[in-house]
Amino acid sequence: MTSVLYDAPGPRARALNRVLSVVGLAIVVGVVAFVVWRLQSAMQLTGAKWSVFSYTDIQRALLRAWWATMKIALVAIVLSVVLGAVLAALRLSTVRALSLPATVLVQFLRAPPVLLMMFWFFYGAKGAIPVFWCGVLGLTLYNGAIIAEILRAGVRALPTGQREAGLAIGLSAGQVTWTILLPQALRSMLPSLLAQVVVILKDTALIYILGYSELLRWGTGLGTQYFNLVPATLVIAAVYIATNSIVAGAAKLLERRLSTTSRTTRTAAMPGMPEQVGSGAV
Amino acid sequence: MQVIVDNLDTFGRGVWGTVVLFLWATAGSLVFGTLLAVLRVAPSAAMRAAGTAYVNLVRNTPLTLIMVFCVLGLPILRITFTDAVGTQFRIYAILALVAYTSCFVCEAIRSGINTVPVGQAEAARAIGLPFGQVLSLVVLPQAVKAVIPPLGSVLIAMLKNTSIASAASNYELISAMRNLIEQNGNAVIAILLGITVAYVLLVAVVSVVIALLERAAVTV
Repeated sequence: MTSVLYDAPGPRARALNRVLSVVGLAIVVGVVAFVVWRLQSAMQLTGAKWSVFSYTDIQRALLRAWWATMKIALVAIVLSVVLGAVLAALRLSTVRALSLPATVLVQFLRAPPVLLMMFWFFYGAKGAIPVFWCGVLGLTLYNGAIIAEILRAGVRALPTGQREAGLAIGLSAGQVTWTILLPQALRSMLPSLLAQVVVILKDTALIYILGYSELLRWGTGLGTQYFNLVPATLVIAAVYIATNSIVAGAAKLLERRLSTTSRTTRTAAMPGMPEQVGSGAV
Repeated sequence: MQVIVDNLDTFGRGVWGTVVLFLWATAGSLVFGTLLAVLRVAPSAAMRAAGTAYVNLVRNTPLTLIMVFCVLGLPILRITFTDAVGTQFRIYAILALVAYTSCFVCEAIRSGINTVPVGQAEAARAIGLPFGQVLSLVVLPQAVKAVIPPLGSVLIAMLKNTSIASAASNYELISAMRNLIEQNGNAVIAILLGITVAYVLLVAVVSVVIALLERAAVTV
């Protein structure tokens, strides 16, 4: 197998690779052993620290906390897609009075941190908006702007014939955007959109800083109560990782399926689409 | 806006805190991210697996959780660096930012290397260049061009992520904002606006620097 970095290995390279493999394995095992030793010597691996998680009450509470996080994420995802579609449609408009403000808004919303956006509602409304909605609205503003960019990139990757055909049969520009262009962009950009869902899921943890009780807040609360903060954060991390990996895995699967169907049926998804837009996936 | 002018020192301290976090975390995540990228393309399966596992685990974890773990968990594991409390929290926050951002730096570098056509390296090997020269004369100069734009987005995202350090007892723009709002409850909107403008300007400055770097890399 040859790659940009290595030629197909010859006998000397194969011998070197074997040595490197052993050294690499030793280093990896060493690092893992160090972490385990560190946890052990700090008394974090004792049964008492972990047994809490075998209680069904705690497991149920964990599930409820997970659902609280999912609720934030789900509401934010729905609202972000709606806002993103509206902003994308406005940006694609040929009327400058519509496209220019939308462009400025999208660019502006991508600049400040999501946490600050949550604080806009938190402090700006002087407590009139419940914390849940401060978090959701902050997430929606930022991710709406990112999704608008993803959808716009998707529309721009469509063949121009799609738009022309729509106009030719007498649809208005708005109808063409909403009934022909955006649905196809939504479909072809589904992998990027799912990647953004992972970002939203991770950013729900920001609402912890506002003091809202979700998965992370529940975990640190449990950790303080049972003096097992390190095990508690590790368990919470595992829950986040599992949830996000499922979504990310679905995105990858979808990407593969979309790329094969588009090759055989030649539908909307065109090759050479921008893989990612902006800093969305960080 | 009077409130910003009156509290320029608090405001300035906030900006400075954010800049310090950003610069240290940039340095750290570039180094560690490159190391991860090397692991992920290494000819040793164990190293590749370790790099992949780290990236996939950490980038699916919320940064807020990593930050909380560094600030509350590391002291329990008796991992401390200094006796000065302020510096200690700063180091924890930088560690969290580096641990998280490195994953994305690694992915940017890796995908940059993959944009170089295999034929380029094959041609370089065909004319007899050794591994080091293939890398330094042919592959890397081309990879750098492809790496800078995504790396720039990663660093801009990290600049915004420094706001999460406010949850780790770090003094930066968000802490300054909360401070100011506590003291000036009647000028909340002006304070929010001022902090937002500060972030927008910081992002703009970093974007310009990255654009300049990109141009320099293209003309090389």
